Amino acid sequence: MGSYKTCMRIVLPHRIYIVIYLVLMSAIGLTIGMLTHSGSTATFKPTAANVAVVDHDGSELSKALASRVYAGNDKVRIGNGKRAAQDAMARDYVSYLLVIPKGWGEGLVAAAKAGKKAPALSSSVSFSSGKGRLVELTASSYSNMLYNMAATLGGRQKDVVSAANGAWKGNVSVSVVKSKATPLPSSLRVAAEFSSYSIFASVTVVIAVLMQSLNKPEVARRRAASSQPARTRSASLLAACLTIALVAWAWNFGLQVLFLGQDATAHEPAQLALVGAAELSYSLFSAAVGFLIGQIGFSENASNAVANIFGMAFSFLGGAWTGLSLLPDSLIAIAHFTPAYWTTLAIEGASNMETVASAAVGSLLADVGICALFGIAVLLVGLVVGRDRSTAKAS
Amino acid sequence: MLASFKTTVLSLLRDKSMLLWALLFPIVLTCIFMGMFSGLKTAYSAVGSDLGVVQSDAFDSEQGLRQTLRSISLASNKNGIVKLSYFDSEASARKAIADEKIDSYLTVDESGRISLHVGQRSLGANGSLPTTILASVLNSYLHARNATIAVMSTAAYAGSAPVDFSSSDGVSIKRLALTKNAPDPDVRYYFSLLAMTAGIGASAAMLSVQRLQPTASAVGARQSVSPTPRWRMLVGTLLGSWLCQFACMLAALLFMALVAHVDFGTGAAPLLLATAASSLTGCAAGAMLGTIPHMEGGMISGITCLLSLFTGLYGTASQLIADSVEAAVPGLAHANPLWQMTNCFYSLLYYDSYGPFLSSIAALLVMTIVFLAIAALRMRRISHGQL
Repeated sequence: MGSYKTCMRIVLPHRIYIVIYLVLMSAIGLTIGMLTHSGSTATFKPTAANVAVVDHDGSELSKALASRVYAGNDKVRIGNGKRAAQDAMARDYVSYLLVIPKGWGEGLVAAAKAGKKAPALSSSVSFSSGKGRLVELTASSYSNMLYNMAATLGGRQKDVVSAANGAWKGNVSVSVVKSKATPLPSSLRVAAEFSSYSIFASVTVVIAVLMQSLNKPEVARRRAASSQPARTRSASLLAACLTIALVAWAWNFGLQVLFLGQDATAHEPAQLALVGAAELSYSLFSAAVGFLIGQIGFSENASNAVANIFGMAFSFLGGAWTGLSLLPDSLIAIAHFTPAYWTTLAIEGASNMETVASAAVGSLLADVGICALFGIAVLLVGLVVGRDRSTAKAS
Repeated sequence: MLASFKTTVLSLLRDKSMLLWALLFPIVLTCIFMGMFSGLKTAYSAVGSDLGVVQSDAFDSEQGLRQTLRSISLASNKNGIVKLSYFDSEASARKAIADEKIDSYLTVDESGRISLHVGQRSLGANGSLPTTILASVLNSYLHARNATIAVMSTAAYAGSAPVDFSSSDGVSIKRLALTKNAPDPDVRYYFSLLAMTAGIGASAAMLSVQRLQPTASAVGARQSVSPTPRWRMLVGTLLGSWLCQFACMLAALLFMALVAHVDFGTGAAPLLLATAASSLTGCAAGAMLGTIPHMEGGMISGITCLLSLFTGLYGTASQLIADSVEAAVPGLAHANPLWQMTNCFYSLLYYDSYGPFLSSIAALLVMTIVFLAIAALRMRRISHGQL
C-alpha cells in the first residue's frame, strides 16, 4: 500500500500533463461533440449547403434561377472585392458560388429559339465538394429546364419562368426506415471517438513519467533494497497504472455521459455500456503502452514524443477524427493493426445498431476484446523488456 | 558567440528526442495524411450510397427512371454515386437494410409515385447528404417528366414525338477559378502540421536556454562565470537552435512537397521565408518558456497540441471549432502563433497578392520580439539572482 501511495504521490506533481491531456483535451472533445449537429435521425432532414449567387443580370430568368438555388439552402452574402470571394471559397464559408453573367436571360431565350447553346454560367465549388455537387445539380437541372421551356413553348421570360415552375413540382418522398434500436446521439459518438487521443496521451505520458521516476538509478536501488517483496512492489505499480487508466476512462466517459448521453442512460443503456467498454479497453491498452515506454526508459521529452506520435497516428488511422467511412480501403487494411480502429468500430457499431440482439452485441464485444488483446500483447512485451533489463543489471 | 552556437547545434543533434520530435513526427504524420487523403479525393466516399431498387411493374414502365439510375450508377459511370442492387419485394429490401447491406431503397407505386426509404442507421452513420443528393437527382427526373407532360399537352405539340427534357446540353456551367489555386481540403492538415512542427521545435530552444542557467547544471554554473558576455551566449544559443529547427522544418516541408506532392502553390523563396519566420517564432517562444522554472519539454508539446486544435489539425470537427473561433473572436484566433504560421502557407496558396502573407509574417516577427524581450528580461533577473 505504501508503495502504491508513493506512486500516486509521484504522479500528482506532474499534474500539468493531467491538465493538458486529460482535462483540456477531453473538454475539447466534448465541445466538438456539442457542436456536432445532433439532429434526430427519426425523420429525414435534407442537407443544406452554404450558397451565394452573384447575379449580374437581374432578369426574370436569373432571379428565378437564384431563388431556386437558394431554396432549401443557406443564403450567404459575400462582401465586395476579390479577397472576400477568395476567403469565402478557400475557407469553406460558401460551398457553392454561382455567377450569372450580364445578359444571360436575354441570351438564353434567343439561343433557345435559334437552337444554339445559351451563355454559360460560372460556378465555384469549395472543397466540401459533396455539398457543392448537390447545389450544382439543382442549378444545372433548373437552368436547363428554363432553356428547354424557352425552346419548346417560347414566349417572354415571364412565361418561361412560370412554365418551368409549373413543372418543378412534386418531389420524391423520403421516409426513414426505423431501426429497432434507437441510435445514440451523434454528438456522443463524435466525443467518444475523439476521446481516444485524450485517453491515450494522458495515460501513456503519466505512466511513462511515473516509471521514469521509479527507474532513476538511486530510486531503483533503494527500492530494490527494501524489505518489501518484489511481487508486492510490482503489484502496487500495476495498481497505480490501472488507477491512472481508470481515472482517465472515468473522466472521459463520465463527462460524455453527463453532458451528451443523459437520455441514452435511460433509453439505450446497452449501447452506452458498449461505448464505455470500448473506451475502457482502449484506456487499458494505453496503460500497457505507457508501461512499455517506462520499461524502455525513455526520457520525459521522448515519452511525450512517442505518446503524441502514436496517439495521433492511432487516432487518425482508427478514423477517430474523420470517421471510418472516409478512410480509403488500403488504409482500412492497415488500420486493422491498430487498436484504435477496433475501438472506433465498436463505438460506431454501438451508436448505430439495427437491433440490440445478442449476435450484434457479441460481435461488438469481440471488437472491444481485440483492443484489449493488443493491450495484453504490449504489456507482455513490456514485462519481457523489464526482465531483460533487470537480468542485464544483475549480471 | 560562435562557440555557443556550435555547442548548441552539437548538443541538440546528439539529443535523440529532438530528432524524434522535430524530424520524425511531421514525417510520420505526413505519411498517414497521404494515406488518408487518397480516399477523400474520390467523390464517392462523401456522397455515395448503396441503393436498393424494388422491382415492380410500375418500376419497369418508368423507362426514364431506369435510365436516370443507370447514369448515376457506379457500375456504368466512374463518377457515379450509387451502387445498385435489385430486390423482388419491399420486405426483402427492408431486410437488407436491417442486415446493413444497403443504405436505402426505392419504390414506385402503381400511380407512379417514387419513394425513397432510407435506413435510420445509414442516416446516423453517413449523415443526410448522400440521401439528399439521391433525392435531388430523382427530383430532377420527376420535374423533367412533368415538363414533358406539360409541353406535350399543349396544342402545338399534340401528336408529335415526345420532347426530351432530361438533356442538359442547353446551359453549361463553367468552373470559375476564384482562388490562385483550387481549394483543397487536404492542404489544411499539412499546413497545421508544419505549424505544429515549429511549435514543438520550441522545446529544443527551451532546453538550450535552460542549459545556460546557472542553477540547471554544473556546466550552466561554469558558463555563468565565464568572461564571455551573457548576451553573446544567448544569441549564439538561439541562433543554434533556430538553425536546427529551421533544418527540421525544411526537411518536413520538402518531404511534403516531394513525397506527398502537396501543392504549396508558390516558389521557393516565400516558402523559405515562411519556414524561417515560423521556426524563429517557435525558438523565441521556447527561449521564453525556458526561463520559467520547472518547465519541462513535455509541457511545450502539450501546449502545442492544444494550440494546434485551433489550426484545425484534428480533423473536420476541430476545423469547425477553429473556424467558429475565428469568426466569433478573430483577435483570439490571430494571437495564436500557430494560426499565423498556418496562415502564411495558406495565404501563399490562395491569394494572388502577397499582402495577407506579409501581414502574417509581420505578426510572427512581432510575436518573436515580444517573446525574446520577455526572455531577456527574465534571463537577466535569473543571473542577478544567482550573484
